[in-house]
Amino acid sequence: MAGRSLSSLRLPALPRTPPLVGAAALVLAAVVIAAILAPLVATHDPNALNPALRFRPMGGEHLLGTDSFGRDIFSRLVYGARASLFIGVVTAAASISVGLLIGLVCGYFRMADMLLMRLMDGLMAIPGILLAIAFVSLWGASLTSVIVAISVPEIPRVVRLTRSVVLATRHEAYVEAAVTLGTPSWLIVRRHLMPNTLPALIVQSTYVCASAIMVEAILSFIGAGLSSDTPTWGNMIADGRLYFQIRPSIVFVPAAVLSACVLAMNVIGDELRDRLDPRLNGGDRRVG
Amino acid sequence: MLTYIALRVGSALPVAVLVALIVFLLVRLTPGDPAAILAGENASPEQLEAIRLSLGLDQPLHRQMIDWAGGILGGDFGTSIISQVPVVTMIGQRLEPTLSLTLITFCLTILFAIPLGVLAAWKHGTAIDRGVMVFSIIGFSVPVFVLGYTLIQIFSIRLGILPVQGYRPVGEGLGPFLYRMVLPALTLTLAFTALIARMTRTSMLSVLGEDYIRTARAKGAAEPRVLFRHALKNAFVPIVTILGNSFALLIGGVVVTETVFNLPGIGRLTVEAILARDYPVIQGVVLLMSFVYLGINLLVDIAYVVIDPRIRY
Repeated sequence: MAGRSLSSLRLPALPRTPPLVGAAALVLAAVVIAAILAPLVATHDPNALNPALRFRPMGGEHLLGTDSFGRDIFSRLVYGARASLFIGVVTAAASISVGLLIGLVCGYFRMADMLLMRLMDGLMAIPGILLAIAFVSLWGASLTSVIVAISVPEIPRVVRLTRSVVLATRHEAYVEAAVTLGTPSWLIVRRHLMPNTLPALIVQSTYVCASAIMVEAILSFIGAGLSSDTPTWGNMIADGRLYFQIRPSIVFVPAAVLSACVLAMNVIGDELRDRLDPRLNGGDRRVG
Repeated sequence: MLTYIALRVGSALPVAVLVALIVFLLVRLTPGDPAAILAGENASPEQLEAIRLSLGLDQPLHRQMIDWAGGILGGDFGTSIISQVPVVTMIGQRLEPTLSLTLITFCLTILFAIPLGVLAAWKHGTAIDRGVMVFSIIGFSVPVFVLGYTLIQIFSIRLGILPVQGYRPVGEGLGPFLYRMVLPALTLTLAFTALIARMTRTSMLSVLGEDYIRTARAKGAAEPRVLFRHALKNAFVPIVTILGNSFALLIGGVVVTETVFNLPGIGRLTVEAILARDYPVIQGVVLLMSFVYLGINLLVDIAYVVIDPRIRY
C-alpha cells in the first residue's frame, strides 16, 4: 500500500453542504475579492483625511460613514481586508512550512528529536500573545516583525502535529519496505511520510490563518501592531475605541467584519477536518 | 507516586531554564542595536545608556548570561527603565485585579462550560448539540475586545445598569468590587466557555463510546448517574489538562479585557509598558507568566496521579 498520495486528498463528495459552511464560503469569497480588488472596490482613498466630515453617519456618499479623522470607513475596511488576509495567509504559510520541516526531522531522526522538541517545549511554555508582544516591541512594528511575531508561537503546535503523524506512520510496512530497498532517507521522508501529514496540516493552516488575523487585531488594539495610520481592522477598532460612546458603529463595523471573517475560517476549518482527516475528529483510524 | 512527582518536577526544570534562555536571547538576537530600537528615534544618548545598563547590554555576552541567571534565581526579573522600580514589585502591585479576574473567570467557566459540553455530548447529533457547537464556534471566533464592547454597549450604555469601566479593590467592599467585575468577568467567561465546552464535548463523546458506559446503562443505572458518575469522572482528566493548557490563552484574554475595562492589572501593565517602550517590564512579565504557566501545568499533571487511580508510574 502506498502512502496517501496527493490525489487522494480530493474532497470526498458529501450529500450536502451544511448552510453554515455555505455562508462561511460566501463571506470568505467576499473578503478575498475585496482584498484583491481593493483599489476598485474602495470608494475613497482609505487614508484621505477630511476634518470637515468627521463622524458621518452611514449612508450617502460614505457608505459606512466616516471615522474621527473623516476617513471613509468602507474604504478602510476594504484595504484592511488586504492587510488582514495577507498577514493571515503568510503567517499560515510560514509557520506550517517551518513547522513541517522541523516536525519531519524530529519524527524521522531520533537524535535531532530530543534537542528540537525541548526547544519547542520551551517556546510552548511562553504564552503566545506575550511572546508576540515581546517580538514586536523589540523589533519595532513592521509588517515583517508582526508576521514573525505571530508565526513563531504557532510553530511548536505544527511541529507536534507533524511529528505525531510521522511517528505513527514510520513503522508502516511500506515505509519499512522502502528502508529495506535502500531508499535514501530524504526520499522516504518526502515521498512516504510527508504526504501523510498534509491533511492534518491543511486543516491546521485554516486555524492558524484565523488565529493570525485575530492576533494581529489584538496587537493593533493594544498598541503593539502596525502603525496606527495603516488601515487594518485592528487599528480601526483601536482608533474607534476613544469615540465608542459617541458613535459605536466606528468600533462595531470593523469588529463585525473581523469576527465574520475569523468565524468563516474556523467553520471552513472544521468542515475540512471532518472531510479530510477523520482521525482528528476521533473517527476511524484507517490510513490509506 | 513520590518518584513520579519528583520526575515530573525534574522534567519541568529544564523547560523553565529554556524559557529563561529564549527570553534572554530574544534581546540579544535582535538585529542592530536593541537599545536604539527600544529607545525610539528621539532618544538622547543618556536614555540609550540607561537602557543598555538596565538590560545589561554593556557587558560581554557570557557575563550577561550569568547575571541574568543569577538575577532570576534571586527573584530579580529586571527593573523598569522609566520608574526604576523592580518588575516583580510592579507585578505585585498589579496582581489583585488580574488574579480576581482570572479566578472568577475560571470558576464561572467550569460552572457553564462543563454542563454545556456534557449536554452536547449526551444529545449528540441533535439540535441541542448543534446549538452548543454553533455558540462555541462563534464564541471563540469573536475577539475578546469585541465581546467586551458589545456587553458595555448593552448593559452600560443602553440599559445603564452596570459601569462602563473601572476597578475597586476587594478591600473596599465586596459590593462595589463585584459591581465593576461583572462585565469583565462575563466577557472573558463567554470566550472561555465557548472553548472549554467544545473540548468537554469531545472528551465526553469519546468516553460515552466506551464499553463500561454501555454496561452501566444495561444494568439500569439512571441517565444522570451514567453521565456524571461514570462518564464525566473519566472525561475529567483531559478536561483538566485543557483547563491547564488554556491558561496561555487566558493571559491573552486578560491583557485585552483589562484594556477594554481599564482594570489596573498585569495586562494593563504590559500595555502601558508597550506604549512607554519599557522593555524590561515586558520581559519580566513574559518570564514570570511563563513560569506561572509551567507551574500550573505541573500541578495539573501531579493532580492526575492523585485523582485518577489508573495513572500509576
